[in-house]
Amino acid sequence: MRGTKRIAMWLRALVSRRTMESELDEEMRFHLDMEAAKHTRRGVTDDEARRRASLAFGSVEQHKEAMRDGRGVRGIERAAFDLRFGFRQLRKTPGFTLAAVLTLALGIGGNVAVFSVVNGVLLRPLAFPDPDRLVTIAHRTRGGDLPLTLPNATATDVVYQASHSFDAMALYSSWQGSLTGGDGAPEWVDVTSVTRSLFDVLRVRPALGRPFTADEDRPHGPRAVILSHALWRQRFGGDPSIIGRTIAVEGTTHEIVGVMPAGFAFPTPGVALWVPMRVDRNDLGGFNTPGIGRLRPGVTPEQATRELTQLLPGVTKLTDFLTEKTIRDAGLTADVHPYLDDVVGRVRPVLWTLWAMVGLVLLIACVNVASLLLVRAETRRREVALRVALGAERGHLLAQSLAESAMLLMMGAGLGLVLASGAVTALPRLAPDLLPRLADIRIDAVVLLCTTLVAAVVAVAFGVVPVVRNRAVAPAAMLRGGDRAATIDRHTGRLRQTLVVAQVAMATVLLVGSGLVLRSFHKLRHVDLGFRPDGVVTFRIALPYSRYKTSESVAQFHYAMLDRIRTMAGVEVAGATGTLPLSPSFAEYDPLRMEGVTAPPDVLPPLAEMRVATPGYFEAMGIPVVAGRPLERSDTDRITGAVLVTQSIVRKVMQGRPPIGARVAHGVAKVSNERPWSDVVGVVGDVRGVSLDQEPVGAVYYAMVNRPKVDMDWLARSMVYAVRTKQPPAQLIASARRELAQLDPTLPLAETRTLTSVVDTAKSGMRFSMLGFAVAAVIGLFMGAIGLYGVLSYVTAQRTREIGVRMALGATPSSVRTSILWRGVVVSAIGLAAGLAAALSLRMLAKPLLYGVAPTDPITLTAVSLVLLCAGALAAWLPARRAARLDPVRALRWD
Amino acid sequence: MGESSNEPLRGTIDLLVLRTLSLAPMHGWGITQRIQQATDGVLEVNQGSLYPALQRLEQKEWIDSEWRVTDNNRRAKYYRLTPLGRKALGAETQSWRRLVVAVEQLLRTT
Repeated sequence: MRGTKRIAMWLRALVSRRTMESELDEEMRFHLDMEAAKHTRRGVTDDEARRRASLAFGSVEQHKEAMRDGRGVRGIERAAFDLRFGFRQLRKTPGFTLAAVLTLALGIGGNVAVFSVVNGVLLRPLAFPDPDRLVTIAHRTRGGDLPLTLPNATATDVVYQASHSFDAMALYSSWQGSLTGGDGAPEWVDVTSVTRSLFDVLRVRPALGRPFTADEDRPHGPRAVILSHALWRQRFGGDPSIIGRTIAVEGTTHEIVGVMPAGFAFPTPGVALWVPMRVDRNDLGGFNTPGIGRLRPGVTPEQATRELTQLLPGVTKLTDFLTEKTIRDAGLTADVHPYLDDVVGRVRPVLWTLWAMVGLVLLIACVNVASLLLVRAETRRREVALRVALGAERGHLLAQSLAESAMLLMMGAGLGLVLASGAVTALPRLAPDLLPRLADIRIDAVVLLCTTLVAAVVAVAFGVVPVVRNRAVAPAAMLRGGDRAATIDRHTGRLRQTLVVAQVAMATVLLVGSGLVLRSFHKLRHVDLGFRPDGVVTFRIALPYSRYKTSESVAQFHYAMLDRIRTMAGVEVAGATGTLPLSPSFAEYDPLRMEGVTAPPDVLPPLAEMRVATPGYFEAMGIPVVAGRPLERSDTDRITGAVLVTQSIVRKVMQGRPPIGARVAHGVAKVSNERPWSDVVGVVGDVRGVSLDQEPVGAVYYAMVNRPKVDMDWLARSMVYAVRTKQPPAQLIASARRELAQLDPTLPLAETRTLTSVVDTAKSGMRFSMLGFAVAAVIGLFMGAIGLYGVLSYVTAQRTREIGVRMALGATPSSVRTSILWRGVVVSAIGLAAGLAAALSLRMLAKPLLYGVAPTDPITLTAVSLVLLCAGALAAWLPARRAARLDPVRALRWD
Repeated sequence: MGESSNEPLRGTIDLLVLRTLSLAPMHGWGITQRIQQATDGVLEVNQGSLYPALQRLEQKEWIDSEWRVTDNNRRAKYYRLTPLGRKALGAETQSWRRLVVAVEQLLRTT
């Protein structure tokens, strides 16, 4: 017979089983009737005829069975039967089923959700060929305080070329700039300058056109630009003849030489343009140029680090501020590490710990369900004994037990997946800035496969437990004696208690973890930001070179705009600066020198942030001026620039000298672009610039200037306005937009946000881990309590007769209650002790997640202990009360 | 019943059923009666082997079945030979004859 026909038949046998059965029935009956009729015709009575017919026919059931076997779907039918049987069993005990399914759903759902994030963010390689050979090339000093990307342009582009560890090395640097030309309005876009070797490092070619030529990557070479796929589609309608046309980047005409493939996102998604870096070998020394390299096959990052560190002293021949002694004293070394670390480094500890947490929750869930199944197995001992006595095969009993577990698990896993898909869509929204590879998070085949595997292992374990427990059942003894044994057997009791202790211990670990994170979050909430975020609305206005060519026009524009804003209704005060605190930005750090202080030639000058600010900015932000005066508009006209420094600069750089009147300059001395001195006119408070949990680095705020002073000019070109107002944000932004349109209709009002939302975003990382931990801990605690409750209830029920005897012999209800309560507390206390020990031994893991709280924080540990003991007592209370209310007479008759 | 002497040889039941159905479509009981009549009661087909055989033949597509109403107005499942079954009947008959000749030959030479 042909295969398809056979499959069709099988399907029919499975699907229309009922019809086939009734047809079979009818055919058999017809045969019997005809046979009987034959006998009747020969003159025997109806009854006798029927008897003879039956005799001749033989066992109808036996024939039917043979026919059923003939359909060839016996195994499937039996499995379906077992599943249906399991389902009926589960439906009979809805409480148990609901508890088990919910427990499993929470355990599995949490794991699937977190694993999808882990898989998407940490495990799935970057979207480049051989991504594990991609490394970041950086430098660090012994203190490790600021991982300096030291004069990387020098090192990577010149000195490290002698290295044998790399296939290719590249530098890149991200900034923002204006884009004009093509069909659209002027745009403010993310731009990345790259050395032309970047395409060799990443091994990605433009989808259209070509990479940069050596000529284009040289200073004063022809200007070239490569577009992102998204920009090409949006702005140029995906025009394939785009190559060779020109656009203006920051007002300078560039020839479009290529379009990157869709999905190419380096170094961040959203970069619209790549331009050549055009490193000037006669003028090296940028401190903030990240390097990326592709290791030769087989070379480890450690080997590469060693080799580059050996080459590092070569830098001294090219710069006049680094000597071999400086390098030695600062403990300056190369630092080559996987590029993926930089992409996901910040979230890695959070995610791994969170995963461990939900893993614990799953374990607790499994223990809980195992424990529930054990109870069930014991209550079913009589049923099993009866069935064995009636000839049920042990193998079939095992199969049925497995089928029941499988049903539970299917329901649990199904519900868990629903929960997980909900969580996966919600997670990124909870922590928009925290998860760096958002696009990669989804529930995919790998995640599903892992879940299925875990679920299968759990199902088998669950299914086997009750059967093994009941294997020793001797049908005769069981049926005779029933569950009347006065006490439960010691072994079972101990196994179950061990399970509960393990649960409580795991719940303790979860609670300690989430308690610590909660305390950290609380501390972070109350950290001194250095500014008052409430009531401040912010937005960015960027001025393209094409329209604002001079520093003077830039300063003029910003002052004019500020004047307009100040006259708007409800505005208290307004000012502007280059970047907001706490927002991911391209903050500029450079060494800071002070006039009259000649740093020893070998000492690296301390770093300070370089900012531009307008008058009004400090008042608008609520940053206190602690000495001297704030910036004034007249400072813009001063021959010598005016600056404010923060308190930490006074402390670290000026070392006790009076700050007002001192003169400082960013950058190193005696280089071609050496910056002139500026007068310090005031001191302001520090703000948390980079992130909530990092101490302020210290900043110098420059007044806008009328004459271009070296490379200071670009800092003022794109400014964030901070407006302290009583107006609703939307209304204020609408009026600001109207004012801007009157001043210059070609400029967009970008990045409109409230300062509160900026701070909230900065907290999102901590909030994300806190939420994850709290949810895991609450579920863990809840499950632990349920487990304890279940065990104590069961033990109490089993001991009903024993308790009855005791009460008949004079035990008081309160002594019975106390004994059961005590048992609950002892079990929780043992679990608690084990859990605390485990939490302490894991404390190093928690460290990167905490802020201002020691992993051994006594407040947290005490609170956790109290919560756990209370939960334990509560879980024991109900069974204890039930036992104390027992009527001894009824208890003794209890079956 | 169940006298082994009256039961057809194992494996020949397919042939008997096919041959019987080649005359006219028939229900299961009819087949047993027809075989009994045609062999003067020498061969009695056991229901326990008849129905599995019918199922097997149907799965091989040598016969097919439909529910029809009998002369005395009852529903019964009628089996009918398919063209494939007719071909198979020829082949089965041939091989049966060869077998009979071979067994005869063996008996004579002894």
